[in-house]
Amino acid sequence: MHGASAEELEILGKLVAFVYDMRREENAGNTFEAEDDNPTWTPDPEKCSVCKLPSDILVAIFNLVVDEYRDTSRRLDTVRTRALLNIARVCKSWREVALDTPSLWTQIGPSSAPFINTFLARSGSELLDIYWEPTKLPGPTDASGRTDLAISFFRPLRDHVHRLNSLDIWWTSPSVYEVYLNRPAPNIERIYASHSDAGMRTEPVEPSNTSHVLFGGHAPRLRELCFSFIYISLHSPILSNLTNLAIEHVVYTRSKPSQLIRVLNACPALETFQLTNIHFDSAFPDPTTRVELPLLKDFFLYEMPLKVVRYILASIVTSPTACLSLQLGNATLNTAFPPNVDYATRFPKIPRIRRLCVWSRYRPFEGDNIEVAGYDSSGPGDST
Amino acid sequence: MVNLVTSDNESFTVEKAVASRSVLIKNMLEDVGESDQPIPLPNVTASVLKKVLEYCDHHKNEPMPTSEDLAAEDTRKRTTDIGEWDQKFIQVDQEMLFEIILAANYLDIKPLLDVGCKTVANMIKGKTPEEIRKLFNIVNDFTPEEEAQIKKENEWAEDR
Repeated sequence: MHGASAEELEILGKLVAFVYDMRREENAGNTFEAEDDNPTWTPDPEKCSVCKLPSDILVAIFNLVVDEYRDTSRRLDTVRTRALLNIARVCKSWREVALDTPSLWTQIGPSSAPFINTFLARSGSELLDIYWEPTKLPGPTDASGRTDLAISFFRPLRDHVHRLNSLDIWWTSPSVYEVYLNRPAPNIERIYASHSDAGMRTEPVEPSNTSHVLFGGHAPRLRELCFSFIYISLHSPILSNLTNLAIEHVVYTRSKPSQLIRVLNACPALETFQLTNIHFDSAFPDPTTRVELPLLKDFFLYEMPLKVVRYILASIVTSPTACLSLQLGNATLNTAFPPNVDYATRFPKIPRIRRLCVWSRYRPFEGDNIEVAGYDSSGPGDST
Repeated sequence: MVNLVTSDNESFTVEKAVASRSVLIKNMLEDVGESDQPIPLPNVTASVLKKVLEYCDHHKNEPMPTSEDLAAEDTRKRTTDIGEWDQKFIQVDQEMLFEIILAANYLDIKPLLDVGCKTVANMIKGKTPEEIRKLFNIVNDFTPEEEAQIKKENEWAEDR
């Protein structure tokens, strides 16, 4: 039998210890009460060295505890919330410090939902990072129960829209929260929102009129917007000065493709742009506007009708280093990009592409995809 | 060389580069100029200063954090990762750990203060209030009424 080397045993030992620590941390964070393994234990205040720390150092330590879970995988949302609530339950002085430190209470996620008013009050005037994902919240599993929970989460935010820094909303219909988010949001920088009915995944269709305008159309610091299965009017003033724009799965029945180009024109510093499965019912005139996007790095057009792709490509000017990725629904290499295609004609507004790399990638369940990367080749590439 | 005198009247003669890891001492040296006068450190004992100087000596060749570094630290996510040498260095008993933190705070040695705070944060992470109390010998000074009130406040989480 092959015996493990000392090195292998050491690695195995570290792995076991790591898994043990992770599980312990998650489990401990999910409970408020410790197993009382020594009921006769009494504290010795003389040995309490931590009690000597001034409050500003305690604040730094508490921030480190909370920050450890910030921006990490969402499954830690519960642990983060409870870590904070646990800190505030240790003793009076810790509670006082925690409650007097608004920055500790600014990350509000699903597990903070029952305490949302507490978090909002304790966060004072600090900017807020809001994350909502209904499936992460224990409670009713039926649609109406989930909606009630979402409403109870978003309703208190109505008076704090001006403090929003980021919004991250998953699997929730905008009809649930837009009524609470229609006041100006002068500080918001990022919004990610998605909605799809479980299993149905139907694209929202442009409504004939909209009763609520997100942030009242006022979000001057907004730089990143990503909407999936959520309609946003291409006339919305918040679609300006963005650096990252992604819109997925929407059918525009009345808006014209030219309005999309106007949006791009209002975002001259755009770095990442993605459209996925966006349809326009209106006719496609010849492009008349040429939009300069010199900072564009990544440019994705996925599952888009070929006519939309051609219209967009004919309307923008990117830097030669911008990377363009295309995934075209039912197209294959031969139908979308036949060997005799005149790329220079098809992409006339993308300057200085010296080489086009075209390849087909197989992805299970997605069929053939085409990816086109245009870049400035310093070597003797194939000229287009 | 710089002469430092602790609260228990012990003298340490160290390289200027080592002593200057402390912003407090660095500023004093700049204010006073070249001098043989010992610098009194009334808030630091000899045993703690010995540890602090061990840290300063190990890190003496590293660039000092600039004000821009410190400002950027406020905006980016803080992590509790600690370097390997620092981890071994900070493996001390609790009393010494908190004395080092207090000394780093007094002497204005931000990187050392960070190491201390991260160590304590790592000790707190994932623990219940009772576990934290036991770890640090903290008295639960809430009255039963206050405890009941807090418990009620956290009721939703208690049930899960």
